[in-house]
Amino acid sequence: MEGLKDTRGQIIITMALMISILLAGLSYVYSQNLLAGTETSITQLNFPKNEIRDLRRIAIEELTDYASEPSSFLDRAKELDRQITTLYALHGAYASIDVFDIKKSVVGGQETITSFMIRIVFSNTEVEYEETVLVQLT
Amino acid sequence: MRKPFLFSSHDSERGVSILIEYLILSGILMIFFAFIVLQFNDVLGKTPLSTTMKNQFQDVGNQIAVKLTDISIIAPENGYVKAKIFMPYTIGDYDFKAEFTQVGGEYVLKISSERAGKSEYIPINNIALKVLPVGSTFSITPVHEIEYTKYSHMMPTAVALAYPTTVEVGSNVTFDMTLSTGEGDLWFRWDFGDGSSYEAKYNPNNPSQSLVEHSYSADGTYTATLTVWDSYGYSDSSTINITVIPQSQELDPYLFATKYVIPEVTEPDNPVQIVIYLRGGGIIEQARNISVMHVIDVSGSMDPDYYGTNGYTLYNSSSGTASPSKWENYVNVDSSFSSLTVMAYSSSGKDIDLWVKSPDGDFARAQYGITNGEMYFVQNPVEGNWTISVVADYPTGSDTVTVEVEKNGYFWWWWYFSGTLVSSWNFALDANASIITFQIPIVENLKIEVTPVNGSKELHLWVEEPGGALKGPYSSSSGTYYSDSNAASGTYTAYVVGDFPYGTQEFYITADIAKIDAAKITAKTFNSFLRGTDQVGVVSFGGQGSGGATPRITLDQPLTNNTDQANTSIDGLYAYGGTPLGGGIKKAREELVANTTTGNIPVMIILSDGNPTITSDGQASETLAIQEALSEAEITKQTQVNNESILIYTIGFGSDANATLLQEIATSPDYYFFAATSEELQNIYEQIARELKERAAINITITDVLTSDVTLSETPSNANVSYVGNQTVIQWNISSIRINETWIGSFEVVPNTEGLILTNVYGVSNVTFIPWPFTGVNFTTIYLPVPELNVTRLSPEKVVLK
Amino acid sequence: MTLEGVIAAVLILSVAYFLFQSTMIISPVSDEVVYVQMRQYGQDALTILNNESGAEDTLQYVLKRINSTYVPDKLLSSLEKLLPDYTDFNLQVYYVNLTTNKIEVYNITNRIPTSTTVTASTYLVIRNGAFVDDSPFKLNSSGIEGPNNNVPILLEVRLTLWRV
Repeated sequence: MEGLKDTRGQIIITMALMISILLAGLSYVYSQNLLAGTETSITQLNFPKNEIRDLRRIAIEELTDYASEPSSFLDRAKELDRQITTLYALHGAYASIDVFDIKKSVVGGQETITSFMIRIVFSNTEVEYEETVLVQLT
Repeated sequence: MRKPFLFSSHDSERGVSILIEYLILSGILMIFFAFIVLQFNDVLGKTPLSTTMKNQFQDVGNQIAVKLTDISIIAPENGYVKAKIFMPYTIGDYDFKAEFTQVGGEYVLKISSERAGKSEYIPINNIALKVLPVGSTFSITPVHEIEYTKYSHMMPTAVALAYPTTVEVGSNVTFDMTLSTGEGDLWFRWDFGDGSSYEAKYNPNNPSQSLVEHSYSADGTYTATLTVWDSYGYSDSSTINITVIPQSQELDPYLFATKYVIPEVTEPDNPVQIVIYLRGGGIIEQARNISVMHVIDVSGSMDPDYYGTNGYTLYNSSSGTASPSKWENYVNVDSSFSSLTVMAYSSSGKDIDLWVKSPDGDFARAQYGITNGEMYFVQNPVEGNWTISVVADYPTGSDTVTVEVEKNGYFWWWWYFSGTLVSSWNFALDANASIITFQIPIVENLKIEVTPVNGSKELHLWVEEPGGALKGPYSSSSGTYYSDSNAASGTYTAYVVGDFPYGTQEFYITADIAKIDAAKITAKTFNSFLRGTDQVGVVSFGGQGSGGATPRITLDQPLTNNTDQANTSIDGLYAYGGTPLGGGIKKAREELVANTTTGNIPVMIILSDGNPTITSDGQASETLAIQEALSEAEITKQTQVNNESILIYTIGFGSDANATLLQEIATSPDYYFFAATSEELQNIYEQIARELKERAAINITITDVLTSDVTLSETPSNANVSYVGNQTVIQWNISSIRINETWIGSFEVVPNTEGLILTNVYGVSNVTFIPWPFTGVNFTTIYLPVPELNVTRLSPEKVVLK
Repeated sequence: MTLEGVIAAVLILSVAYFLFQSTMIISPVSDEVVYVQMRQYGQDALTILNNESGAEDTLQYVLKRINSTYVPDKLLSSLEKLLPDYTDFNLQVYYVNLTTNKIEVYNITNRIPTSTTVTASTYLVIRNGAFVDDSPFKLNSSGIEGPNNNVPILLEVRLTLWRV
């Protein structure tokens, strides 16, 4: 009968030892794992792909509509730039479009814009983007 | 039974004593546990660690690969993208390195740790970047980023044009480089081929400044070279040939055609423009002589005396805003007023209008007239501030006006008894009319009318004639207007006065003349384009007698070289009666057949403002008259005068003109024109004059066949596009090109391959046309040159990990 | 220390050993992936609806006509079709008020999120003259050159998504 009591005690102690080793090991492994698998998702969430594409679309396609009025074109572009900078700042990014080198042709007293250069800049904590485009209007 | 000695008295399986058993067991266990403990590191640490490390390496690698994919989606054509990479300083307590490298021929991203001896590979072949990334970064550095850069630069393209390309000794040739393109500032130099040259900077804001004139002192063929360069050091050149002929040698009108591609050097998938350039050349003085018969409609509808307002046509118009010349003041009405009287009168009797506004109402006009003025009277006026306005209803000058306000006056029958004077004012009121001047030549009928626009406030019109007389007022609301018959030529000044007490009124003012006047003026303008060797004649068709039903077809002027004489006969035309169009055509044809000088082109210009109404033998039936007109026109088109066909131009004047009929009468629908106003009529005559004299080529077809190396990105608006096999055929048709007239057809294509590619098929792309003197039916063909397009990657992209 | 006890201990330990050897790693179930997917749905939906085709459910059509009484039901129903069933959304428009130069928000829908949200945005430009007269985005004051019909107005359409 004493043997039985002793055995049970030993098993209990052994079990306790094993469980504690198990827990220690698991916690060690667990701490290593916290980083696995999260990087890619964070990237997917945060890369400002659509912001940059929208910015480029606004700068090139939408601004081209305003080039049919040459006298006010530069003012409109500056006005749009102001709004872009303000709204993009809400997302923690700096965005700006800058129109320069506007080439015009004068036919019979009528001025039309033939081409202009635009510099598009975007910057947030993750990505910095800059592009200079020559937009030709036929 | 006796048990063996060695066995203890207890019956058991024990082989040893408890103590030794304990020791052996402990020993075994200790060895066992030691073995396990030694494995701890591996089991509990290393293996999960290595899996974890593998996972995390893959994670970092995927992050970089995903960022690379995203970068390739937003990659700029000319700029850069920098994306930060987040990497932990250590993974599994080891620092590591990320780099782009090649493994077994495949490009991969390798994340590895030397010390741990582990590495992971992420393949990046599938990411759509044209250039493979390079670089590496260590996890212990604080900042990691991928940088993508691409700078593209548009190379300059020189486009050398000159006109005329065949020229006499000593005459100027204009050298035009303005179609050349490039990025930023451009400079150009012309080497004219005779040893001289010219260099300047191109100013895109004022392209005409960059046109260069140069003449050659000896005859022969010269090759002029244009060189264009930009501030980055790139340049391009192009040539054009000039043929110089001795002076006074005959030079027939000719057509010059060529083709360019802009820019000539580009990157793959960038669109380029292809331009086909045609220009008529030759010396205008060499153009053919013409014999013109004016066939002018002198029916009653061309004259407002018979046709009313539809007999007018617009000569000139203008618009403006009228604001009244107004004096305003206030009078305060309190309970002591049993009645309110306001009187206004001018000292010299000029017309003034008095308007009074009560505090709660609108402006009301004075109800009574008094000497030199008006009076407003109301019983029991509302208390408060009343506004008094006096408007000057005269066009010029100034007058002294007195305004008096009385209270408690009253009427007995029609007599007015004055009350107490409350206030009075005395002031000068200047006229404030809008002044518009019209220059009118001598016309039979002139009408000047004012119409309010965007509103209906009252406007009064005065007109000062060239002789100084001032007529008016004409009121816009009652629809009256200024009109005069046999009006003198000179300056007519219109004064538009605003006859309302507040606001402004936009208006539209028109000066109309009789259609017959417009016809005369423009026919004489046409004659001014004629030279001494041309012939001109006049036939008019109208009616006479009672009801105008008897046809009046007159040869007012037989063909003559004396344009002054023709102009005098035009002045003598008058409008009356019906429209015998057929008879007019016949008469004009007979004259052309009889008297056209040999070698001249016979031309008939028919001007009519409505349907033909009578036949040449006096029947008043529109149907028969139309039939007659058509058959006479048909006979005319078949008639040959000195082996030349008669050209018939028709002009429909005014909204009643029968366009269908006139188009059928004309040589072809292109020879029919419509004019609504006299200004349009003028333009049409000028256009006909230029077309007749100055054509360089007619029936021109331009065909361009593109090879399969380029793809048309959008169809040009006025061309037909068809596909034959793998070639694209683009065709334009134009009816004529005049001397010194330019035609440009351009379209955008995208190159499909790289390298030096031909943009069209030689020997097939051509321009066909009938050359001067347009008598033959044989087409001349000019083959278009084949411009080459160099498609190359000028500026490689770079992707660097650092 | 009986043999059974030892054997029992050894058995348990070796089971544990083999378990670990086969690397049963518990990685934390990351919600991130689900959020990424939701955001992608939202972004795609906005990109589809941001076009110039003139259809009644495009952002261009709705934003030109929106005012206090206009209900963009076609747009909202198209959005519901484009987004998965397990999500609900709120739609807002952010813009710069050109007279006060402050950013303002116009709420097309007024729903309250019930769990963690993700947002997706798209941008469009509309000329001032294309708005109806009582549109919140319209700049009504006149400029030096007259009514500001051609001033470009930049609008950010923000879609907030959450799981339900």
